[in-house]
Amino acid sequence: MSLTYVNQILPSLFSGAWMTIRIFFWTLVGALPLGVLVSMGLRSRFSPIRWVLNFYVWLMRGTPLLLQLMFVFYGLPDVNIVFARYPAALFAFILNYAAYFAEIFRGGFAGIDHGQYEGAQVLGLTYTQTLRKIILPQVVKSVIPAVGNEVINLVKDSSLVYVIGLGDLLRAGNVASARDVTLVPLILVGIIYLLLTLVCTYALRGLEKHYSYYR
Amino acid sequence: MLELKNINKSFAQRKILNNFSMVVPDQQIVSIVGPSGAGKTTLLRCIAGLERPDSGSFLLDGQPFDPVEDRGSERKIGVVFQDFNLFPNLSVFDNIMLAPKMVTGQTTKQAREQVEPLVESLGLTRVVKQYPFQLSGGQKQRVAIARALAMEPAILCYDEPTSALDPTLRDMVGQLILDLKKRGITQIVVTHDQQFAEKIADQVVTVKPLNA
Ligand SMILES: Nc1ncnc2c1ncn2[C@@H]1O[C@H](COP(=O)(O)OP(=O)(O)OP(=O)(O)O)[C@@H](O)[C@H]1O
Ligand SMILES: [Mg+2]
Repeated sequence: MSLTYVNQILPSLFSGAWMTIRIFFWTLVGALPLGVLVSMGLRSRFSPIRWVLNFYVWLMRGTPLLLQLMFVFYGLPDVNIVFARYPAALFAFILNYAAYFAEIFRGGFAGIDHGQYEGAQVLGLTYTQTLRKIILPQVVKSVIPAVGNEVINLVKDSSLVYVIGLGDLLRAGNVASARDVTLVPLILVGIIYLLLTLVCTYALRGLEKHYSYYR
Repeated sequence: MLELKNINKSFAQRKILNNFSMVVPDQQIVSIVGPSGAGKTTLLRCIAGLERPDSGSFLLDGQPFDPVEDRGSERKIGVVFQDFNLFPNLSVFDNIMLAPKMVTGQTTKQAREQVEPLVESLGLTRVVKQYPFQLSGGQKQRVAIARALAMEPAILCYDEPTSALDPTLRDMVGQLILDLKKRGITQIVVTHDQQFAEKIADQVVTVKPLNA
């Protein structure tokens, strides 16, 4: 593994990694809040809302993300919804991940003792105040491990964007590997993925620790 | 003064409260006793607005009063739950300060001035920075009492205040309830402990199980 060769391909790997990181970041920014909203809708008293959202979750979790990506980019133009590659990828990723997060958050909400709502009600707090100050902080704490798993998955899932022609980390490695007939770029790609998941793991540990001040 | 008139409540066709009436005079302690399953908690939940009676009426100081609509800063009924329902994510101090700040809209300084004497009188000064999981049962109960009192309710209700406590602590909470009475607080105490009820209450009301 000559150092000059590594130096020569690293810039293209880094620019691929940058795409991976962007998709990772914006998917989380979109899918986490959306997941919270959907999870609240899944607990709605209004049954049509529950029905629609359950269908959405089923659809997103019941089909491969790869298929969803292809559908958004190649299928939706047939009904005159046209996305460029990058927004198409974000759209599919956010919708997909929000469904997984919604299920996790639904479990988190279900785990909160009903007494917490009643305790707040008899103090005169509104439902929104109760959610913000009492329920959500406890839900967030309880879902960190499960959300963490999905976050690590997302780092690797982001490589699926190759199917709609986006140049991410894995694709950059693939291109170099095929062109130069060597495995070196793929080894470097593996190392970069490991570093990215390592950063995520530490960030999640930190978050868990931050919330460990109470039980 | 709180009056309950002909309160009826059923769960799934099973009658729990049948034309239940009682009067809670100001600055007195009314104890509600009865065997397990008689409907004591159900009655308390109706008074607290957590359960809507099927029929019957409430009067507070002679005015019609709907506990379910008893909301916001004007809320009249305070509750100390059997398992306290403290907020685990908030420190003792924030448990007590939350409602004065969020509901009555006091500034932190105003709320603090009101809450600090309360914390001191309940012997909680040393634990204000701790979290509920770090407290003993008796301490948790006093936090729950302080949290309810911080909203200055017209009536403070307790569900089984002795159930989680050993005998010495039981005497202490009895004494605390009597102290609060001296401070002019009207209280309703649900318990299955007849002795305890007779020791603290001005009036003991018995709820009998209905055989449906
Ligand atoms: N939400 C509910 N749905 C259906 N039945 C209920 C509900 N809440 C209470 N009950 C029933 O009502 C009856 C009275 O219950 P309640 O909790 O008021 O009794 P209690 O006098 O407080 O008993 P204990 O001394 O054991 O606390 C019980 O038979 C109980 O099963
Ligand atoms: Mg009970």
